[in-house]
Amino acid sequence: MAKTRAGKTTKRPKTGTGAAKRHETAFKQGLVARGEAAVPDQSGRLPPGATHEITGDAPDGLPKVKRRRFSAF
Amino acid sequence: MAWEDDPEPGVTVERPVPDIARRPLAFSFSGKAPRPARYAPGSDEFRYWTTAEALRRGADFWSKFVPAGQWQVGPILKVLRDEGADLNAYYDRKALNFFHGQGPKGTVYSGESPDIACHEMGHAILDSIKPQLWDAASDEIAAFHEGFADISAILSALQLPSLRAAILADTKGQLYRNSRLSRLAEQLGSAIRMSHPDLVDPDSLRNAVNSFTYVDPLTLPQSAPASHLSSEAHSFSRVISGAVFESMAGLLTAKAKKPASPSSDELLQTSNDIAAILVAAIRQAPVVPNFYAQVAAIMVVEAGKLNPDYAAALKGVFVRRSILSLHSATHVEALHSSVAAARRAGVAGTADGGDGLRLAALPAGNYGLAKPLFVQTASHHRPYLAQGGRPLNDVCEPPSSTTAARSFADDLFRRGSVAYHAASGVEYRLDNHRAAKTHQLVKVPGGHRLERRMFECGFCFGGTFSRSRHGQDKGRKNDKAPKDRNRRS
Repeated sequence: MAKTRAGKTTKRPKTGTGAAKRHETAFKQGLVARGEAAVPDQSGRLPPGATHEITGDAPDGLPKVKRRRFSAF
Repeated sequence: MAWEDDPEPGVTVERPVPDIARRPLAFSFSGKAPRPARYAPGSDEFRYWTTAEALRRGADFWSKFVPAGQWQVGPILKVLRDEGADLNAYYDRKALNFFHGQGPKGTVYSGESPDIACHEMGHAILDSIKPQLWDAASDEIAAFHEGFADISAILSALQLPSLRAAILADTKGQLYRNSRLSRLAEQLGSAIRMSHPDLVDPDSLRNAVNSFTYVDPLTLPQSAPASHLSSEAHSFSRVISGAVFESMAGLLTAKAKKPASPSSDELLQTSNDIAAILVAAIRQAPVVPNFYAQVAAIMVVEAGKLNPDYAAALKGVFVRRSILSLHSATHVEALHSSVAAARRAGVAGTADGGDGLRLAALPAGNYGLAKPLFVQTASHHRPYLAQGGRPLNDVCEPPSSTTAARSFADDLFRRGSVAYHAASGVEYRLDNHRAAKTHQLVKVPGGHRLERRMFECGFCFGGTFSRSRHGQDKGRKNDKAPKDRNRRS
């Protein structure tokens, strides 16, 4: 469950179905291949162009990622 | 004085002093505001006020579509005008972050471009409208965010009377033509082109007049030159931004008293209409991997509520770009009204929320039914992925619950296992007198519901047992479905 600004909880989109899992895997692979997922530096900053923070490793070999920002390019 | 849309075309416009602290959708800028005055382009003061003017104009436009009246982060959104060297800009749920870098004619400040400022603000607007999209692990949903942000830049620009007049003159009233409006962030595009000539469009960062059509992003490469589509969010966003921009042009033609020469006021009204349609669709659309189709389908329905000609225009664009199949575009309004009728009547499984199995409405013309068919889908949440195996160490990907339901219903009707009762005329039915009727059609508001009557033993084909025991469809013209099955709580 995610919290909104009003403190209410909202349902996260369902994941784990076959189609959703395929899309999630492809999404993560793309982030890694394009350098859009990165570990932040000591001050917590992401490198230019990165939109996602790597927060750990998942059992499928791909990183766990969390969106930090959207970019113009 | 400020830029109309971007420093590269370099068209200035006289504007009132923007009040960035005004609510709803207030901003706070880093650093002290320079005294309001006419400053020369190229000065820091000019950059400050052109960013402020663009953001105020864009936020004022979108504020009527954000009922909470505030950003996802709260009532005030920070704006960091120059965070260092980078040819980019970001929205990070804390602030709008702008940067600077080297361009062909000197330093480029990304925040100086109203296109880029209103693109980043568009991310913040969409985040306020649909926060569930923020971290959805889906190429299509990330791309939708980018497409919405580009549309935000276009719609915000259209709030300027001088730009509307210029675009209508330049395009001779044909909005869906390559123009200063469709070309986004020309200056940043030029700067990026210096080092990466194939990563941006030849005339801008991105151009909303394009011919890209939908393909499943799973089948696309992870990156590609700008001339091709990839699953990268900005690249794939051009499918939906192009479709929405083209749709807006269709709406303008439908709305204009003189379609060949629409007026500035009609263009302004059209920008409001497309925004209302888009936001209403986004609110209702389920967050699923094929998000484009979900939004497009609801946009057709919402457009039809405003103007019947709008729905036709949108269907044409979405089908041409393969965002909606011809089949979906044809049936979307009937399905939507059937689901709404079923929900109003409290048909079990059609309401939002709850943990039960969901009903899905399927187009049922191919079953000989005039109205949609409601089927109960195998739709419990799967907490983890379990797959079947295939030879060569391959796996069977499980279908979606709706696809599985459609296939199941197809098989039932194909075998003649469904008792129609009075749901359809005899001449339209797919019938097999020798098949046991394991399922029946029950009339519900908005259509018919497919219900199981029994499980068959599997050996009754050919009439081993009497037809009556196995639910043959007796009295085809006048029989009725049991009334107590019409409603369930």
